Amino acid sequence: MTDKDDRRSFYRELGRYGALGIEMSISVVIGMAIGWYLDRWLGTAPWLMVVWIGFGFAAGVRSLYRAAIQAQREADKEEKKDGKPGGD
Amino acid sequence: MRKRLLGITATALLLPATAMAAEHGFTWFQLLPEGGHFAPMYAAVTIALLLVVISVLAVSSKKTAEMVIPDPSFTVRNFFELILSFLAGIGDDILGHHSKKYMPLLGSCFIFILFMNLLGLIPGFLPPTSKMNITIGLALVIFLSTHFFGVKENGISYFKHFLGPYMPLAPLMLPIEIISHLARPMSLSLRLFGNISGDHAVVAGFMALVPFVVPSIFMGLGVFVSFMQAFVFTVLSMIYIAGAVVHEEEH
Repeated sequence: MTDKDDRRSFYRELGRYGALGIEMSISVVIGMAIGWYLDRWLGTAPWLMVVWIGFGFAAGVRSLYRAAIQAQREADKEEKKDGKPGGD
Repeated sequence: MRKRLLGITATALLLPATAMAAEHGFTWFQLLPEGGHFAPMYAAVTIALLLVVISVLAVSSKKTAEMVIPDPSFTVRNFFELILSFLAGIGDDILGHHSKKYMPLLGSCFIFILFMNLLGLIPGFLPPTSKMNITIGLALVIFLSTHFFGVKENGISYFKHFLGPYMPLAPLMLPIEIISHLARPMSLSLRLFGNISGDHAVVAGFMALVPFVVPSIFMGLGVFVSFMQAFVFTVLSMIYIAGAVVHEEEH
């Protein structure tokens, strides 16, 4: 792994994991908004909002999980590349 | 020597103008018709036209065969090529070997956002990206084109991955996936808007306190933030497009 590759992957990961926090919080807000409008439409306040806040939280966790899977896959790839005989 | 003198004169002339601009919220685009409402749109359109003119000027004077030879000195074209080759390298990492297909969208997105951000550092102009409607427009373009590319690459089975990997759980996964996909353009636009308007507010605040030397430090920070936010926007778009285009067992 050269210095340039190192810096490039640093920037990439900065973008990817920096996005996680805001995405998790916005998922909850979007879930809440969907629930609120559905409640107003169907007249079931406040139950759908509660359910959709749950969905929003799950969506946030899902994007965290997705990033974790991606990170794991990349770490595996890195390991395979480094462990290869003749590799650097 | 003459250059330095020119620089000092320019700074001395520009500083009061900046202070004026910061305190009264004045921008040059307000002088155009309906400028009070549409100043950010005018600014964005101006940047877009400027970029078109620059690229036409850079390309038109050369034949296609000459385009492969780089310019000998540091020109505008070399500057853009430097940025774009860096982006293309990252795009190769994230999107794989067919990243070239998406580079026109992503590269112009990066340069457009970068110049809109940098416009805010010129006295008498507000960055268009410090208005939420501009950033939402940008994020919607990315959102729609992500799904367009997804459908184009994978056909109708693209929508299957909204249902999750395990069929009995599909009614549960569908709202979760929809929310997490809707959160993406929101977070893209909110981040860009927040960073740029925050940076602008910091510069304006220090300009009001100490209209001398100190704001220039924060303007330097502003250049960094402009690059960083344009870059983060582009990298996240790449990741989203990669998620839609590359079909694997787990997205």
